[in-house]
Amino acid sequence: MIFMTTRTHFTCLLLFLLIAGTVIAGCTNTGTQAGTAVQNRTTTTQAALAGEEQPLKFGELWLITGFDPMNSGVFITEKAIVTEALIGADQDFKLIPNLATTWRRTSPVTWEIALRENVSFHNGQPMTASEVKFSLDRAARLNAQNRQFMDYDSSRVIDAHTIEITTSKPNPILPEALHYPNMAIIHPDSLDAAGNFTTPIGTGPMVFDSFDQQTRTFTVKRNPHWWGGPVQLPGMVMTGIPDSNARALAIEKGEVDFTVDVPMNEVQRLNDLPGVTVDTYLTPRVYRMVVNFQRPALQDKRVRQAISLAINRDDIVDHVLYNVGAPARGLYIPSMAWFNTSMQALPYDPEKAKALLAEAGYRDTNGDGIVEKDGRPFTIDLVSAQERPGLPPMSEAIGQYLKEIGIDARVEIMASAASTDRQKAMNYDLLMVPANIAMIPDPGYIIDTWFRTDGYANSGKYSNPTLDARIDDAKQTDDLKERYAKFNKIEADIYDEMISIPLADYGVTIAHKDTVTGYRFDPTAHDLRMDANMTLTG
Amino acid sequence: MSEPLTTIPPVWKPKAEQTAETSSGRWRREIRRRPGFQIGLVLLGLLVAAAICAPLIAPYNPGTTNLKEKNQGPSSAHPWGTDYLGRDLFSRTLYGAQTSLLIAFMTVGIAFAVGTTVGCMAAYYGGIVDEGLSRCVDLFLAFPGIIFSLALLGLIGAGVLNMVLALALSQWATYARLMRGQVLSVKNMDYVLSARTGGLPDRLIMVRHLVPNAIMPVLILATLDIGHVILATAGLSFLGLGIPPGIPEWGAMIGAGKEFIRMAPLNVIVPGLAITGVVLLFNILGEGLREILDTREEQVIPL
Repeated sequence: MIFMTTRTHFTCLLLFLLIAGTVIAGCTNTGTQAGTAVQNRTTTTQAALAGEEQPLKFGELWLITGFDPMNSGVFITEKAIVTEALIGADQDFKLIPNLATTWRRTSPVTWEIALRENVSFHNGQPMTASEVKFSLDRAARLNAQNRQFMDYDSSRVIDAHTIEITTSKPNPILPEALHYPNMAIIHPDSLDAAGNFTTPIGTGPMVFDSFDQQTRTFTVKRNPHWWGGPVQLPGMVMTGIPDSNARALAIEKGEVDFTVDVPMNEVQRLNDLPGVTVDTYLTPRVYRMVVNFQRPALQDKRVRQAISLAINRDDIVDHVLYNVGAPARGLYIPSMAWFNTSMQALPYDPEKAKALLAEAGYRDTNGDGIVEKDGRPFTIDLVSAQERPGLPPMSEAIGQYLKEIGIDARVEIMASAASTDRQKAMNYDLLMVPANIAMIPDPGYIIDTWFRTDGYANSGKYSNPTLDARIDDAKQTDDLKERYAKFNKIEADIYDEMISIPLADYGVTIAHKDTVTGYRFDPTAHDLRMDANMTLTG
Repeated sequence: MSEPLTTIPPVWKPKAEQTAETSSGRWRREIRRRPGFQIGLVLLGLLVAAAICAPLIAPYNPGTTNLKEKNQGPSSAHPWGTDYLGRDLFSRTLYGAQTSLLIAFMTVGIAFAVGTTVGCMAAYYGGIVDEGLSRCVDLFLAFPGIIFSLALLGLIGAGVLNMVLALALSQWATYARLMRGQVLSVKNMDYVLSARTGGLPDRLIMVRHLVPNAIMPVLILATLDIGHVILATAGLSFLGLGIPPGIPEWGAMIGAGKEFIRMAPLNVIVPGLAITGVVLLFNILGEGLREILDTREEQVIPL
């Protein structure tokens, strides 16, 4: 018997040792792995450059899975800067010349575009209208989204540096659509004889060097003949690090020189580290809640307004987003040329919210803290994806805000694939979405796709023929000032109706070592655009 | 432990009374010899009481957020600190015990009931019944349990009852397999054969003779399994598959809190210690129970 009791104690001891052992092993493992990774990378880059200038080590947000601009333009055009689009955009989202110098609408459905001369591809061939036609035809043929953005029908080579694009219907924002990174220009030799995309041959400041399928590491080096002038950055080694904590560790341990979107609560700590700087910018992305208009309760404007009034956006930005972002003001972000400065931030007023609910017929009759209508408690399904780090805690906080005005909010957080399924099945009441608002730099982009009856991102199935007619009218307005004014009026009405519930503007954090200087942020890009004129010292 | 015994109908009582003296005497003697087991029992009692009385004990509503007081260390207002949304960690951990214990007891209870029934029937009837039921058991045993639960939860969605269903479905086969073996070893004993020749119906033979004599090893397995189920629940919730965020649950608390591990480690440490402590407690109790009940201790050791 004594033997057995000793055995019990022995088992406990063993268990403790096991747990302690696992914890210690876990810690040291990460340490050594990180160490080896750094070593490996240093040796490869040393071998590659044989003591020349060091490339920038960039910790990308997503795993690098493809680099064909037709569908991975965000990576190859914005992050790797190997390819370029015809048209660029300024810091306030106004279009500027890029590979195209001028563009002109010659009839409701045709556009004449003049191309920049003296631009050459990375293989030395000059860029002419025929490569541009090849690239646009290909982008529109292989990707439905590209086709929709451009309303692309065909294009015609007029001369070596002029091309005419015909749209399937009048599209006043074709130039804006050409800014989209998927519409980047490539040389036909990017494809092999069988027509498969193998090597990205673009015109950008960086030249494709290698892609390792095993590690998904993508390397580029300086283009010495870039039309934009001398390129500062010698090259980049790019690896996807999808976990935000891992990205923070990578910059802290010196595994990367430059990374994006570190955990919001660590911004301050990382910034305080010697040799590391973290900057926060606003990107054209907003956190919002899509409202399911097939649910009778949510068809009542007062209920939607009550939900909005229940949410303290200032506290969410301060304490959930750690000031990486800003409370929503209208549908757009302040840096956009068409931002309406008379828009007010949405107020927090739980008392008014309760009053609105009562007015709509929801009252707490049985004293359980949840309001009822026709004897049934008011419950709301709040569905959120978990991938963007701000979403899960924000959803939990909003669930609690709704409980405080008497709505029984059931928060469900899931992988984005699952939440997309729920959205398609219309199986939600409110859906948290971090949506890009400038895939096309024009105010009409989100209004047309989110709120028009047949808009392809109209997830809540909102339908209002009067609004549709106003959107159509605004879309066909050519004069920019008039166009912006029309869309701002629509924006104000949507804001008042709470057709979707805006929460906060999305902030992006850029963490880089102090040896990286001169980075210029491009607010029109998806999360970020790399800057070829950064310098890397030491 | 007392739960499954009460399912045995009253007809069995006379027999129990016959051996009651010696059996309960042996129990008392064995337990008295094990102070560790006694402390474990007291702790289990306290844990269950705390979980049941959570609404009375907890100083705060586990869901009430107070964003301005997020990520705080221990203080007189919040003895175990606050989490990333300013919720009281002590209250959340206490309510988490409720969730974990509820799921663990329900899962093991269902798996135990289904497993023993199936195992007993397979062994007693033999032939085609045994073939059918045993192949079914094999099928379930062939899947790695946690993967099976993961896939099922992905399909049916999160929730306490779904979690119980997913875990019980991945566990019952183990009980059935063990029960079948145990019943096989007693079903040809003389007293069973004589009961059968005496014309006792199958149902009564199983309830009176087979189950009471075959159940002990399965019972021990069930006790040891409770800790395992708590861990599995925490693991699945950590992955975001188990319990929706509205219900406090330890694994989900760690999963959400890991984003803040460097700035506010209490987010992870508090629920982590709760899981470790409770699982350890159940393992010690299960081990003690095994020692008390297992008469073939010496033969078991080499395993």
